[in-house]
Amino acid sequence: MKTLEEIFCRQPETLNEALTLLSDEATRGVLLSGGTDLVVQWQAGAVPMPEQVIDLSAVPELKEISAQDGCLRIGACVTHAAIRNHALTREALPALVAACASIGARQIQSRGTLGGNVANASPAGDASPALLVADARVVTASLAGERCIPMNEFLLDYRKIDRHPDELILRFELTPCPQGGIERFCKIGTRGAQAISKVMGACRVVMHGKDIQHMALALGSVAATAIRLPETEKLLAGKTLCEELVDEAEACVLREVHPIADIRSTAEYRRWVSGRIVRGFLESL
Amino acid sequence: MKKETFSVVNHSVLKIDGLQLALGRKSYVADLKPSDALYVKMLWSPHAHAEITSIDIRKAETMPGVRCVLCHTNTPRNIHCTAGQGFPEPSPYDTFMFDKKVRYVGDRVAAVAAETPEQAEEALKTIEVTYNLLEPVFTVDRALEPDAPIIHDEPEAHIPIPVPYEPEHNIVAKVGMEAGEFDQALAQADYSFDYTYETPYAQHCPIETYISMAHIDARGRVVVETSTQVPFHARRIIARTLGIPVRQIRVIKPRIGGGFGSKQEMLLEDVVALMALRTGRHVIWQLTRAENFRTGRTRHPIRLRIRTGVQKDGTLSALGMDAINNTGAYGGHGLTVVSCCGSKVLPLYRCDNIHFDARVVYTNLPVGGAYRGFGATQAFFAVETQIDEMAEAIGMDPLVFRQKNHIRTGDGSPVFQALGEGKEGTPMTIGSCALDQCILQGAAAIGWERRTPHTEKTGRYRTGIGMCCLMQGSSVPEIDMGAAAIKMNDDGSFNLTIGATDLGTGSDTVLGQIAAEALRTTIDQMIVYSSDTDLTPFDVGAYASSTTYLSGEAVRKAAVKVLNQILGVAAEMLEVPAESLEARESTVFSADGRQATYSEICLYALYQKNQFQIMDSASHITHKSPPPFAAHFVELELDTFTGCIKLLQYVATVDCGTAINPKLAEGQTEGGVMNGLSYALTEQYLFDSRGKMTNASFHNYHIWSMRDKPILKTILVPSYEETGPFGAKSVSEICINGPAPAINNALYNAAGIRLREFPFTPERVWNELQKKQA
Repeated sequence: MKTLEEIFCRQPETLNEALTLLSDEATRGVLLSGGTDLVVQWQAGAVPMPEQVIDLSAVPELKEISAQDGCLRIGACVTHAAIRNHALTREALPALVAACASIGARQIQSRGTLGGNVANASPAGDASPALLVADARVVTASLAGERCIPMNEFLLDYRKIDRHPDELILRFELTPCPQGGIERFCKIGTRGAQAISKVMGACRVVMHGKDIQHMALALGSVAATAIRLPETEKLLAGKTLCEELVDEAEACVLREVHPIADIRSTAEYRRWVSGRIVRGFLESL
Repeated sequence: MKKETFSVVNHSVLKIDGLQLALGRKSYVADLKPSDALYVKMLWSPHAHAEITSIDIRKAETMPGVRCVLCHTNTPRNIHCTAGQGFPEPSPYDTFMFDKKVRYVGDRVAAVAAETPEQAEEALKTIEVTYNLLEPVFTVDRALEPDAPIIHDEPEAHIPIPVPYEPEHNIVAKVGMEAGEFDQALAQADYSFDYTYETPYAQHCPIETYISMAHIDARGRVVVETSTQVPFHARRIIARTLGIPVRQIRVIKPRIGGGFGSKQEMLLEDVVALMALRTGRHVIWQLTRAENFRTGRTRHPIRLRIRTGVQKDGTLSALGMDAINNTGAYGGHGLTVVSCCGSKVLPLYRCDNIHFDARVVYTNLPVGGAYRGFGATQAFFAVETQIDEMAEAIGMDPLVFRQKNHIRTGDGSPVFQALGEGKEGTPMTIGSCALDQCILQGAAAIGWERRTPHTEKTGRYRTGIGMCCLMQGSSVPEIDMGAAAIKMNDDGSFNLTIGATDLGTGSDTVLGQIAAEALRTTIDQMIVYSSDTDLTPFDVGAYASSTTYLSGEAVRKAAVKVLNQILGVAAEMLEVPAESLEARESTVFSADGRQATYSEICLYALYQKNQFQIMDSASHITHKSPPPFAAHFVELELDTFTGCIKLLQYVATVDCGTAINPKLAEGQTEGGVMNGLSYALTEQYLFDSRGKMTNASFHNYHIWSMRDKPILKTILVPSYEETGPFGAKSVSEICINGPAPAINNALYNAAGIRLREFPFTPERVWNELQKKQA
């Protein structure tokens, strides 16, 4: 049986070096960032230990948070702790900050990264719903150049993302929550820390009085990937918030999600609580 | 209550092993491993119920690094019981070291010892086993059907005490009792209730998993260093299992990283001992966390039907319990755990008409064992839920209903006499009970007066306040024995040797305090050494809430004898009658103001005149099992949108008599409450269709961490138990019994739902909320 020590690990120090390694099948390896998902999966035998690994933790370009051209850029290897603490994210992306603060526990947040959370492509990835409501774009890079893919297209299927073998995730570009906008995040688990979610949700809303001007809703752990709820959003956008509308929205959510049962919860509970999460969001506005 | 002025007991002295553990000094079994030890890996059964039709270990024996391979074809076939209990055990002998039949996923098939764990692992893969699969039995209902497969069909299976044992019907034991006219009282009650409750599997999850190491000493004896709660029982069971004399075995318990009952068992020791005998090498075996879950001992899941009758004036007229205990594939502790469902729970409330009937049943699931609370935890969930319900039905505050009915100092109970450990119990009247104060102080701390009925609550988030009352026991009367020896040294210090087993609880400290108090010295003068079958006197071990009460009294008696010897020598030195002397602060004083220090006295006795070693020993058995009492209170917030429960505050009051070390008693209480909260809210064994646990890791089996801890207040309510050392009773088990019923009662107070099973997961709470709406 292979042990961790036997994995051949390269640690590029520049982006170009990393992309060069990825461009050649001989040096291509599993991309490693914080390792909080991968190393655990390897150790548990859930995923076979790879022959070689490219450790991205020394590439400076991947660790930046900046505001540019009206959007927020978060490097793939920015840790959850950095997102939790950074002034830019705290101001512009409250749901993402709340999601990052709920991942694992403090130690995990200090190692785990946003890129890793998304690339792990678990439907229970805590950051994904918040990224979806912020209309995130995923920017990938290879020696051939960059690609910019909307988050909902990037998440292809259960444990599948739209990354070519010679690419890495460079950064995420997010639309900041507009002035006066409201974001919410909700996570249902079994204990205060170190618990993978049963269901989680995020929303971004812009209200004018009781009128809903903009509504973005996303849920995790209710489908093969984290999903937006386009039907429910359509139902709500442009309407005046009232009790009947909340009832309609909740019913619409139940039609829109098709969760499965697994070790963490039942399909029936997940479906029901999805509606309740959205109801909770709406009632809090 | 007796007023005594104590100088060492009832003080929170530092734990005597605290510093060594905090500094990471070599203390645990794994720390003691030499670099050339062999490592053991076990091939576990992948099937819940199967016969091994052939097994071939020849290839494994030739694999690199392999030094020993064991399986049923090359090991002694001595039927035994792995439960670490008194002798003869109140548990069936239904286990072989290795058998040609496997009875649960995680049963032993073959073991390899090799130079490295990886080599042992590789060798396991080469062992060829063919199985004849048998129908597995996964529920007690199936086990009890006439055509059910027989799990223990080996002819050797028997129980060594005269109680019913019917393996041909998958029945491990039956026990019951009646007092008064139960059926009639139930029929005539103003209100009667009949509900069935299910309590789940759970694991103790000590941070140190099971671990044992053995080697052969210079005289050819086998020395087993092991993480055990029962070193003397382990020695006896190893001897029986391997068919070697007790004198050939020495068992040593170093520091251990938690047990909570799981290590009241001989689980790894026979394998490492036999491998050491066969190889002459050090052999070490530690279970992984997954193995600890699957093959380690668990809390027995028990089905409890509770039938009760109550009069409009609040008189409890009938109290009945029918229990079916799923003991899993082997029967250790099955009878005693289910007996404690009755004996530790039914006496809490005064009632003339009592019914108890229990059966213990084999299944092809993980094996039940001793777990903190020992049956009382399961039964209190059911009974304390129903007590609340009865109070509700007659329109009485559930706190007042309990105040009206609970047992008091001077009361007896027919249950005490009827239910013992595999035989009749011991009649007992309560000598100390401060439950009334526990209820009052707990109610004040939680703010019970703020409690409003659930019918007045609306909205998404609803708070609820609930409570429960609890008792346990202290030791197993007339059965369990503890002994202590004390020897004086020339500087006035003392060696205290005890068989009692400190499993992280602090009992070495507590017993040292008791000795120091009785010897009129200080804790720093006590050199405490425990749990070594060659060097310390016998003790049954750490279980049944017995160490402080039982072993502590042995220590006190030994200390009094040694003090008398000290006074005798001082009398000779000071030339006055011993009766005129007084000892305090390691010094003996005469009435005329002269004095002799303990050091001077010991030096005189060792070197000067009429020389002898000041030393003595004492044994103790108890004639009663005085219960500690507790009242637990919880305030929670239920999110009716999600079914999630947030605990706002928890108050645990406990009457443990004199707390020998208040800080350690608080620690036991808080640890037990956290343990119980986790059991009530999140822990669960999930199985696939073939009986394999699917969440055997901390990743998906969730125990609570500090982040989950609510505001938790512990109140020690003193009483004085005349039969205990300096007034002490037990404290370590009772506290785990409270969270499940207290939370259930708070859920009712929040939203009008009562659950009959737990953990109270969001899914389960949601189901109840749905049912209530419908």
